[in-house]
Amino acid sequence: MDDITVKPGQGPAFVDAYMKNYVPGATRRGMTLAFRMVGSAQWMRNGEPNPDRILFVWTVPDADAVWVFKFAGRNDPSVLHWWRDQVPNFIVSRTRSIMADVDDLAGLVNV
Amino acid sequence: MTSRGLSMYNWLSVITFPQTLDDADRTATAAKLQALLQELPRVRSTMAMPSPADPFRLNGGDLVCRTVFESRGDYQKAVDSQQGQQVKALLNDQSTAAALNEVGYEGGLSGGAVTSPTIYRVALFCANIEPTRDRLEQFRTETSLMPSYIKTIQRWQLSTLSSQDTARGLHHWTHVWEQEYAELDGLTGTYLFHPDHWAHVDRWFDPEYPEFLVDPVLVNTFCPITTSVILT
Repeated sequence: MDDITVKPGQGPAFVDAYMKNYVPGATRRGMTLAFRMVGSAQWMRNGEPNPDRILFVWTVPDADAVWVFKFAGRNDPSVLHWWRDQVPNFIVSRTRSIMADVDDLAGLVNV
Repeated sequence: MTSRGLSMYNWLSVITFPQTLDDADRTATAAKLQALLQELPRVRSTMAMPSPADPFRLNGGDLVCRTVFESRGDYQKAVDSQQGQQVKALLNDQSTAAALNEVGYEGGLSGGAVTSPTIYRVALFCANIEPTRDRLEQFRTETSLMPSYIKTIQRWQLSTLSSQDTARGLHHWTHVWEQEYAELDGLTGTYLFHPDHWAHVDRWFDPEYPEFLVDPVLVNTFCPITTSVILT
């Protein structure tokens, strides 16, 4: 999950850039984009004190698929270019995390 | 349990043979290095073991040499000795080592019990992306906690190199991450596929994360062992 806080007024432009510059490659690396959620359910205008928060939720089927997209990503210079050189123009902060369903945790650690 | 007491000084080389070296020459070179390393003055333990081809490895070389001394001073005396100079000459000879990644380092954080290891794994990292003190400390803490989640890890050690240490090869290496396993599947199965690895600690290695810290060019290799080699 990419949890991204976007500069006020930059929300729509960032989503466009994400869809154009990041999503096609990520999809080729085996990730499936499940949700694009925006808080607070509207775009904040430029000059507003509160920025937009956007969650891009991706899914992969298993741990093998995690390593597949990870290794493909770190061998593709355009991925680093996107996160390091392009994304900072739009955002205040971001986190990325990999999560699993609570019912799957016992199985995941039993490897 | 993690310890940080008096530490040994370690000398590790990951050697890639020239492609022109046949199997007999490789075996002979390994035996020659093993013999020279064993003759080093004040050496505590040594090994020179071939690293088998495996997709888990990255820049894994053909031969892993690891020697342990009581102190940095003992290491320096050993390297300066006649046998040490012969080892250095072999390592620097392109007809012996087409590629070499070499580190000398004081043992760092360590832990785990010695049981019956058959696999030694070592990774060399260069943490060179915004390496602030806080980021390095968090990386060190999280990495050293992996053995508390991944139960196939037996002995382990996470060492940080100083500017006085030897660190050469693909990078000026900053960290050495070592573990011992009872069997290979504990490394290429459990260690690789445990979520503490791919969902947590790998953040420091992944350019898609804001935590990205470690250069993607690293050494990741393993070799068979018959006894524990991580001495503390």
